[in-house]
Amino acid sequence: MKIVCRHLRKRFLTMRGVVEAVKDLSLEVEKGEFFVFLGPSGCGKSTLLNLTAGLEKPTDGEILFNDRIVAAPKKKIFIPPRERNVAMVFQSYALYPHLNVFENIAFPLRVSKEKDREINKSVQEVSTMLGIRDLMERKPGELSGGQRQRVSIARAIVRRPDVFLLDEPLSNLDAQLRMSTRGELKRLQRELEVTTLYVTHDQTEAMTLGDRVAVLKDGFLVQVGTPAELYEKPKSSFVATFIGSPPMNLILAQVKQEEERVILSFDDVSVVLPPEQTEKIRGMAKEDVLMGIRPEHVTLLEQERESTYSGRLSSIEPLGRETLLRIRTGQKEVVALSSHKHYHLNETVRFFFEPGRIHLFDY
Amino acid sequence: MNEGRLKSLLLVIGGIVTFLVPLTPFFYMVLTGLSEHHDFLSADKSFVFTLSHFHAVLASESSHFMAFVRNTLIVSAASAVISVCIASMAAYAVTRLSFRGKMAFMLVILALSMFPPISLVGYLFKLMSGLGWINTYQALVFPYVAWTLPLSLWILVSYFSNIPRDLDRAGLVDGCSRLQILIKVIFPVAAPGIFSTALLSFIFAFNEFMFALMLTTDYSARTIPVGIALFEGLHGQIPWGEIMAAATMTTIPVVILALIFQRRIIQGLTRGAVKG
Repeated sequence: MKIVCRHLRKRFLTMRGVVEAVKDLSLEVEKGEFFVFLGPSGCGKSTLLNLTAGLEKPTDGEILFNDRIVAAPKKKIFIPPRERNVAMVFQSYALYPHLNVFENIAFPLRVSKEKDREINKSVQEVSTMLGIRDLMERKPGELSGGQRQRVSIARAIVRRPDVFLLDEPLSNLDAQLRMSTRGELKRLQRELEVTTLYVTHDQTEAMTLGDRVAVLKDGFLVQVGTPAELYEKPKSSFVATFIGSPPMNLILAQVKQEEERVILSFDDVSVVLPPEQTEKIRGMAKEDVLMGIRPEHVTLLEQERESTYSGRLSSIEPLGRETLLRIRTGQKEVVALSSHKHYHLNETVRFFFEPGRIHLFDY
Repeated sequence: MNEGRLKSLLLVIGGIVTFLVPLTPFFYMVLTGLSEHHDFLSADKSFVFTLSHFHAVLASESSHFMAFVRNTLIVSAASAVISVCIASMAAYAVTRLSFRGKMAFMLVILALSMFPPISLVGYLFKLMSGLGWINTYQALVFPYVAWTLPLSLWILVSYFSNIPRDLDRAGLVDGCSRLQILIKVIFPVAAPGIFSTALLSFIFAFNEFMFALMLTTDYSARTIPVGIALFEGLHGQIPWGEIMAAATMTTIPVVILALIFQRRIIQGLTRGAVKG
C-alpha cells in the first residue's frame, strides 16, 4: 500500500485556542517501506499517525491509500478506521484488560466475524512468530512489559493489515529489551512486507529502523531522506543537532572573504573553508553563519601543525569504546570524540576540523 | 497506662460505638419482630420469642407482603437497568466525543438533580393521573429513572474518564464501531463501576417512599416501604410486630445484593490495561 499525503493540515480547538498540529504537509510513502516520523514531543508526529489511521479527521488536504482517497475534507470524504485495514501498536500497548492473550489477539478477527477455525489458525501462527504461544491463557495484567508489547504487535499483524502504524512502541521498555525488540520489529517488517509508519522521538530508533525518515518540527516537515542522507546532508541546524549522538557542534562564526579563500572565524580560531564549500557560502551571502561539525570529525592531534587550534579540556566523559571530550576555546565549547583514553582535565589539546566535513547553516 | 495501650483502647471503644450506633435500630427492629410483645423493654413485660409475626406477614392474605416484594423488585430492577443503560451511553458520549456545551450539559444535569422531590410530586400525580398510570409500575419506574439518572451519569463519567483513551483507539483501529467499543470494551472494563452505579440506583428505588405513596393505591403496584408503613392491625392499632418482621425480611434482598456485587465492585478490572 502506497500512502500519499497532500497539503495536510490539522487544527485542534483547545482551551488555549487553536493549535495547528500539522501544517501543510505533503509526502509519499512507498509500498512496503519502513517510514519513520522523527521529532521532539509536540511536533505533530502522533497526530500524523492518527490522521493516517482515521482516528482524527484532517482539517484540510488529502490522504490517499494507493489511488483511493481515505480522507479529503474538501471533497467530504472520510473513511473510518475500520474500513482502512490499518493496524496500530500503541505506546501504552492498549491491550483489552478483560480478555486473555488469545482473545486479545483474536479481537480484530472476531469483530470482522471470521470463522473460529480461521481465528485459531491465525492466532497460533502469529503467536508462534512472536514467541508468545505459552502465554495464551494469561490476562494482560499478568504479563511483563515486553510480553505485553509482543501481544500488542501480534494483535496488530494477525489480520494482515495493509498499513502498520506504530506509535512510540518501544518507549516503555527498558534499554536492553528495546534494542532486541528493535531488531525483531525490523525483521518482522521485512518478512511481512507491509507498509509501516513508525513514530518516535528517539533518533537511534529512527536511524536503525527507517528505510526513510521524516524529521518534523512544530507541525512542519523539515526534511525527508534515508538515515544516511539525514546524517550526512542535514538541511537545517535542527536536523543536524537532532540526528547523531552526541549532537553536532554548532558554532556561530563570521565569514571573511580573502580573494580565493573563504575563512570562518570565531574567537581566535579561523577555519579555511575547502574550495567545494566556498560556492555554498557565496550563495548565503551573509556575515554570520552557523558552522556545524560532528564530534567524530573533530580530530585531536599529538603535535602542532598548520591550521590547528588549541583549547582546554573542560570535561572528559568515557563512553567505553570512545571518550567524549569537551574542549573550551575562548568563549565557545567544542565537543570531540576520541578513541584515545590518556587525557587529563584542564590539559591543553590541539585539534582541527576535518576538511569537507564542515556543515553550514543560516543563522 | 501507657500511650500505646490508651490508643488501642480508644480505638476499640471508637470502633464499638461506630458499629453500635447504626446497628442499634436494626437490632431493635429484629428483636421487636421476634418478640411476642412490642413493648418488651418495659418493666412489666419480658421478651418472649415467637415467629408468629413473620408467619402472619407471610401467610395472611390481607397483608399482601409478597406482592409488595415482587412490585419493589420489579420496579427497582427496571429503574436501575434503564438508568444505567441511558447513563452509560451518555457518559461514553461525554467522555469520548467532542461536542459543544459539554460542561454546560453536565452542570444542568447536576442542577436538575437538586430539585427537592416534594416540589415535583404534585405535578407527577397530575401527570400520571392524566396518563392513567396511577397504580402501575411505569408510574414509579419513570420518575425513579429520571431521579437516579444524574447521579448515575456523574458516577459513570468519572469512571469512564479513567479508562485509557488508547483502548477506544485500539478498538476503532481493530474494526469496531463506537457502539461495539462501548459494549465489547468499555462495559467489561468498567463493570465494577457499572455494577456499583446500578446497585445505588436499585437501592434508591428500593427505599423510595414519597413517590410510591402518592402514585400507587393498592398492592398491585405498591412497594415495600409504603406497604409496610400502611400495615394496619385488625382493630386499627399499629401492628408493631408485623411491621418489624416485614422490615427485617425487606433488608434481606438488599444485603444479598450488596454482598454479591461487593466482589465485583472491589475487583480491579482495569489492572493491566496499560503499562503501570
